[in-house]
Amino acid sequence: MLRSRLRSSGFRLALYFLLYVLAAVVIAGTAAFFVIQEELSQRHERMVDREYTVLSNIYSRSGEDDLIETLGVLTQSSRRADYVYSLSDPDGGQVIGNIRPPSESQSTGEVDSQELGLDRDFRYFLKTGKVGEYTLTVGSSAEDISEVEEVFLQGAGWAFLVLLAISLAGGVLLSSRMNSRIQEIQIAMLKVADGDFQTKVPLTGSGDDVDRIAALINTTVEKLGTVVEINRRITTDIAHDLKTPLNRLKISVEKAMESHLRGQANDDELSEIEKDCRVIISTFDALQRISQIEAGARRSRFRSTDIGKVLSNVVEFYSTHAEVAGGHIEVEIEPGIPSVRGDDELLTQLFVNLIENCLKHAGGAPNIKCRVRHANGFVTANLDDNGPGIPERERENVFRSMYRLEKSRTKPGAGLGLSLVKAICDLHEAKITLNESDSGGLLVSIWLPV
Amino acid sequence: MSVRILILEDDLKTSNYVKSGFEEAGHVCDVLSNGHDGLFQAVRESYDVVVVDRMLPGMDGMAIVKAMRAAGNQTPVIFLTSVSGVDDRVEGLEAGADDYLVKPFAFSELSARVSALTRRPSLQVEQTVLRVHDLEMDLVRRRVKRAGTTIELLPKEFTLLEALMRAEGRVLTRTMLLEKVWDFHFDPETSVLETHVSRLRGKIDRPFDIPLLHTVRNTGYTLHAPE
Repeated sequence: MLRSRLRSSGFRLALYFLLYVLAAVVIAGTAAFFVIQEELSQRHERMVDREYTVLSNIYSRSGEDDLIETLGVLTQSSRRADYVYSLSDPDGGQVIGNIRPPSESQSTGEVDSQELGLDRDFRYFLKTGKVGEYTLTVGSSAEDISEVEEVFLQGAGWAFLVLLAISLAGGVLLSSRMNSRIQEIQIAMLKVADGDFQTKVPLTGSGDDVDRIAALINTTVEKLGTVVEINRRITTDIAHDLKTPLNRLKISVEKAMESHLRGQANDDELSEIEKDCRVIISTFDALQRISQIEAGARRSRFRSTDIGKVLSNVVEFYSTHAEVAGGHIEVEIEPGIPSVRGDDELLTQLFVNLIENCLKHAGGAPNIKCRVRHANGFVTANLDDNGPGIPERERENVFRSMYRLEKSRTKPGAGLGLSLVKAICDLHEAKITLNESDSGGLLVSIWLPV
Repeated sequence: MSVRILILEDDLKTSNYVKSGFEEAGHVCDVLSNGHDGLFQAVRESYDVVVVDRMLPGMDGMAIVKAMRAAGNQTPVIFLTSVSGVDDRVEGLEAGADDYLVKPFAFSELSARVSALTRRPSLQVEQTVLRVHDLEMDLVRRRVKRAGTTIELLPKEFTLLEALMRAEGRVLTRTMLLEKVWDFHFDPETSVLETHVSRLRGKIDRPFDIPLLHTVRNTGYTLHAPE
């Protein structure tokens, strides 16, 4: 538990941040420490300077006796315990003072107390100079600096410890919060792996990065669920759609075998068998084609394509058939239609499926109008029929594989025609819409980008 | 006419079915199931046509066709693909195959395609007039006459009749006609092709005593003079 917490990204993040903050505190503290130390030292130097000036003025105005007397008072005064003095005669002998006269090299600046014969833990700031023939040394103890240093270091130490404790606690808190959210995602993902696509990762609503990832996971799972559901439904539909021809096939085979055993001709049964096999194979073929087209590999075969020519060829193929049924198919192509990037063969199949769809549902005499136009960077193909149309609520569904309006599945076809059309449109980045035509039938419009 | 056919197919059931079909029709047929052996045999022996499956152990069908063509072997090749995808078909044709067939196929379809390929050399002589019995097609003036009577045909009817006349006596399957005349590489669900053939028949046969255009049940159509 602890190990996993220490390894969690939340804890690590908090730890890195802590190290960063501590480094910043140490650098800033050190800088402040030296600035304060320098300021205090300068103050002491100024104080020593002033004291020295006062004493040397006494000497110049009143002479050596007054100076010695003043020094006598000063060295005895407990109020001046912070100050040290020494006055030596020209021979080097000390006249008066409360310290050992400093050596020449140590007579000015910061000096250790031991050098001055004092048993203290701090340093002194000294100034030495000549007053007449005498050598005067004035010093001030840096005890306050040492105290400030001590207080500062102690404070910094405590601050460091408090900061460390707060940061560690924060890290643990953050990591436990992060851990619980990651755990929620883990639990949700395990449920998805078990096939439960209804699972959702709970969102806090804060909109932070974990929330955003959770929302993305939820969307992905939802889409995945839809795909799996579609596949599941298609599988059921395939099973249903293939069962009928397979059953018929079985019956025909049995009949053919019976005829054969009786020594009768079985040509009719064999012909039925062949037809049933063809239905089964064409269903599989269509499914295979859809998945191949959806995979998008065919885009590499795109060429410059004349939509008008493709549609005219298809219309020409079907017009005889429509005329025999008492109807007609007309095609109107606006002049100057630019070519589009596409796959001739698939676009042919697209129009074949659409026209077959019109013919299949036209009932009586099929009347189909095909128009190709060019506007706003798109080549538009409109196919308008006089069939029963598609109810508005069903229009999106008909593009789904194996979907058929009549659930009884009495008309031929596996319900793959329009999903193949949709797959081909998607491959060409074309938009397809279904609307009601002027005659109350279906109006299919396809926008192909130029 | 007996032809020598090499079949490269690893599915025993398919190859037996095809072999017995060809042998019944009086052709000589060798079957091999390994790609390497198949290529060796195809290049070493002289065949009239080679039928190659797309997926073979040892060597892929596509590689066999490429190797044959690279070795200068021009024997006609029919490619068998199990996926009805256009990519396999186009790639096969680009590799040097002469025709393709999607599995599962009817033997009559394969047989029709084999005979179309084995007759090909005789068509290399450019003809300007095609004749079958008393039916005459002038390819230059694009005119059709039967027994001296001019027959008006729509452009696609003309192309359809031309395909049938060029294949005189041989069967053209539904898919072959859809490919040749409309460039459709798939079989539409409706019986539109039948309507086209029926229209054509109405123009070239119905007004005359002897029918030339015949339906071959479950397979396709053939045009020939009375026997």
